[in-house]
Amino acid sequence: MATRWERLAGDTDRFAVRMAFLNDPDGGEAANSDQSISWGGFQLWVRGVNLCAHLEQSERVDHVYWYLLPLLEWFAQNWDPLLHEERLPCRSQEDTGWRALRNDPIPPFAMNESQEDDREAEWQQWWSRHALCAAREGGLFPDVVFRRLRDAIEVSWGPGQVAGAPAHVVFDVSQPSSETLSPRAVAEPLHEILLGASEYLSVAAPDSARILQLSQSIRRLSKPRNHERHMWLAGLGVGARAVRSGWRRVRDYISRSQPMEQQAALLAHEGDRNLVVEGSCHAALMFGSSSPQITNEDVVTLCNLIVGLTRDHSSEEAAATGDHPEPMVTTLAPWSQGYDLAGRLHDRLDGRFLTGRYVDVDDLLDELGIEVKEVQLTDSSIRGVAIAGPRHRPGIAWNEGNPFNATPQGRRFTLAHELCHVLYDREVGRRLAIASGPWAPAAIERRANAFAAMLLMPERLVREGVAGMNRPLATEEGVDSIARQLQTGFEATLRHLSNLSLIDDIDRQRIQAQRREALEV
Amino acid sequence: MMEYKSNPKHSEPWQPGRRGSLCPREVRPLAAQLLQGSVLDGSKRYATHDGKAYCAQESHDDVWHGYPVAWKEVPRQIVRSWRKDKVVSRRDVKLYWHGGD
Repeated sequence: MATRWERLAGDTDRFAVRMAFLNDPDGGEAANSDQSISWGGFQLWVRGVNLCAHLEQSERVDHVYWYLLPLLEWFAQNWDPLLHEERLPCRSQEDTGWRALRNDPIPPFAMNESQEDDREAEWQQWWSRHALCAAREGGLFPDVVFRRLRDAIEVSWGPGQVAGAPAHVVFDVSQPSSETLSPRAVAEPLHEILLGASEYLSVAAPDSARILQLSQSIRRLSKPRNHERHMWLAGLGVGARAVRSGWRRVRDYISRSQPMEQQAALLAHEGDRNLVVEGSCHAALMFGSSSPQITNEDVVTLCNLIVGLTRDHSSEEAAATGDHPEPMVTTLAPWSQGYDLAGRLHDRLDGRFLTGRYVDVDDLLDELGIEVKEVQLTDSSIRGVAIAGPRHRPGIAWNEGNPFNATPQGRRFTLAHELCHVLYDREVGRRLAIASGPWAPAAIERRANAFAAMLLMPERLVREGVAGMNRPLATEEGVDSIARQLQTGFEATLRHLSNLSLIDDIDRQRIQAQRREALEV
Repeated sequence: MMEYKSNPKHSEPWQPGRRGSLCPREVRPLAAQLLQGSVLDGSKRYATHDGKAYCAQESHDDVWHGYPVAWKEVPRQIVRSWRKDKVVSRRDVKLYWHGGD
């Protein structure tokens, strides 16, 4: 197959796309002329791995070969959600877009048909905007999913099933994995290849209305349209219409109720490029982590919270957080990163909070200059909220309506969890706004939970507590005694003792069962 | 009258780098019949047989070719209507949602 045009855009060690147009091996048979002229191959490179490399009948093939016109159209049509929409179509504890789509695709049988249909429709809409296979149109594509993840782009993949794919076609990337990249690192090479490919096709088929339309839509991508892109960042809904009306609702409220200066506290952003928004505004970050069905009351409460923490120009002194954002490391388990960060924070504080019988989290937050507030959100699944930024004092709010916050131990855990976000989860422009709940990114939530556990139950205090016990640890009473000393919840303490290998799995399950029975009685 | 003409890229024999989803052998003789009973959505037509989904695209004026698709690739309103009319079962949509055999 003779190559008519070929280009590689980007750096294969980071993110790159290679595309080539070749002569249609079937001479245009059973294909319209627009499609036939776009016959070619593509490669997608992420951190040195070619996601398109595969075997066909044991023969190595480095490109995916197919009609490329639908692929180009898909990228152009879904550009904004692809690079700006983060929240998944369903609550998921999975870390990546690919895993969430794969493991949560179809609702349980317990749902009635109407609920199931709604759920499938939401899943399908999201999939069609983010999964490369949505552009395959009969081709055999790798199962790759693009989405925004806070201020980065996540590319995730795994072994895919494609209807009609013979068993002898096997992609090299057979294990689920993911990488995060800066928005620019993805948007620029992707746009370069789209532009080059569409220019080539325009010359090759000057009379094609479809190719003309493609070229125009690709050229339009480089015109800044921040409003549209912030709308996807906030993601206040699952479908495009809901996302648009949700963001309009927030913008209307902000412009109606907030003076200009406060509007900036909610909507200011930076790092905008013509092709992509790099640094989200506080409002988009906050609503991007809350439920897509957020109520008007919660929109108002959260906006007021962000505005209420605006830094007064006359008091520009920095808080004592001394924070150093720590991006998630995909090769390390979130819990191990959380434990490590909490240990390092205690070290940084010279062990000052390790001298008593428990860690006084209120004193710790006070010393770090972090304000603590109480909010009442109608969404009781949100445990707490964390806010920080160049124009904001760092602050944490705990949700009075969340059941975990009903006890002092639960509230302490929430404050410690949010502290992790304030210290380590800041984005471009050092902005942070996150609502900790089931819609927040699962990996950073898991890391913050582990951080909270190790911050409130540092090994030294745990071991001192265990050494001073006059009863066995691996009992309900033993765990309860440690929990009371450290002022932590029973479940969190049990899990932490198990993670520290002070209680084995069998004992943990036995204690959990005993506890459950006791509560039921 | 629509005519069915298969696209070699969805047919055997396999040729590395030149093929896409293959039409199952048992469905090939039924392709023209499936096309006639298919439902139009945008520029594509959809049909179902034995719990699985198929898509057809127009190659030239009124000449179509088809290939198998997963249920996740079928427009929502078509799945909804077929499920309502018992053309396809909930179980089959789940089973072939990702397109596996």
